Amino acid sequence: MSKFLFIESQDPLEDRGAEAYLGYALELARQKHPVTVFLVENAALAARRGAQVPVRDALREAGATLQVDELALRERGIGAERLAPGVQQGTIDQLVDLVADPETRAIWH
Amino acid sequence: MAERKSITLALMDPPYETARVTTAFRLAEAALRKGIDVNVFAYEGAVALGFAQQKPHANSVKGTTVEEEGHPNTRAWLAALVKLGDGQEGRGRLDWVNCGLCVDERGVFEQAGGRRGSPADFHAFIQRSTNVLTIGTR
Amino acid sequence: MGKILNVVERAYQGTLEEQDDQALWLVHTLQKAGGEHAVLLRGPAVSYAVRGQSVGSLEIAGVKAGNPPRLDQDLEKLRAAGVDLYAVREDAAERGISREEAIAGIQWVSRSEVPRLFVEASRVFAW
Repeated sequence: MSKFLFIESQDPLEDRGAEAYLGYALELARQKHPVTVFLVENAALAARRGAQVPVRDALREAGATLQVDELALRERGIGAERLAPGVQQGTIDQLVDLVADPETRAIWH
Repeated sequence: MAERKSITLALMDPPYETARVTTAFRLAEAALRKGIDVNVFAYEGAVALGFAQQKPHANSVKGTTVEEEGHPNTRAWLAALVKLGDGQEGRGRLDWVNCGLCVDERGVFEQAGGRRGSPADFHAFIQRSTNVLTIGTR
Repeated sequence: MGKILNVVERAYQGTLEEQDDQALWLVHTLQKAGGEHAVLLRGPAVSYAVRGQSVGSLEIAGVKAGNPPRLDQDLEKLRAAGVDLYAVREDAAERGISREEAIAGIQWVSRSEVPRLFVEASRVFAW
């Protein structure tokens, strides 16, 4: 099983490319590949509790790790208490550790 | 001794247009501070990130002077990253390459840091990097 | 180790001004430099596969773009250089593009098959 890191920068509510990439991540997670999805920039809008992003919840149910850039959260006024279930704040240091992991295939979209 | 880790970022965005540049700069800094080497291939509009003639400006909407605004140009961040990425005291090394053809067609010859190169440099980066992020423009 | 999979979705942004597609041009140079690459067209970029497309010439205020690309032919050149070409079937169908009007040599995959390509690739670059 290959480890995958999907860094999503686009708002999946607006961008069909983002929707597609999160779908790829979901399929890989369902196939039991270890998958981390790290939301940055406008993709952070999908992290708010109440945001209507079914693929986010499906990813969690499929066992994927969901993190969101703490700077992007602050920028958008999304406090930790407003995060959707299963979404964790992540730091840029944590993101670098994931990108620098030789076992991980990292993909930016 | 463990092999040095390195990551490569391929950037395409020009200055000031998107958040991708900011995220890429943050990634580069964090990696360098962790002792991870960073390679950047600046392609298309990204070759203007280091253009040395960028100047900060006042902001009449906010009523701030140049000094009060404190608006760094991307060249300042690029130069600071190059300085940080000296490989000293446990830090990683930064190799910032500007696509030469892209520099030519934009006329941004005077640069605050990095070096002129070509896709062959990007190919070499790909060969030796732990991971490569293509942070393309949208 | 599989090839590097270049997923191209951004399309027609450099056709006139740059006279190519920036991602396809770069993939071609990387392949020539000794890399092993594949291209997957998704989203609007599936339209690059349509045979016979040509933007013609562009002239603005008397300044003429001299050599606009033929994107279908650019894809064929990539294939001749050893780059595997894939395109997402549903993305083409949604845009009314049939396989009959596409160039030969494209391997059509369904959306659900894309993750398999990710697993098989050595790296995945999203453009």
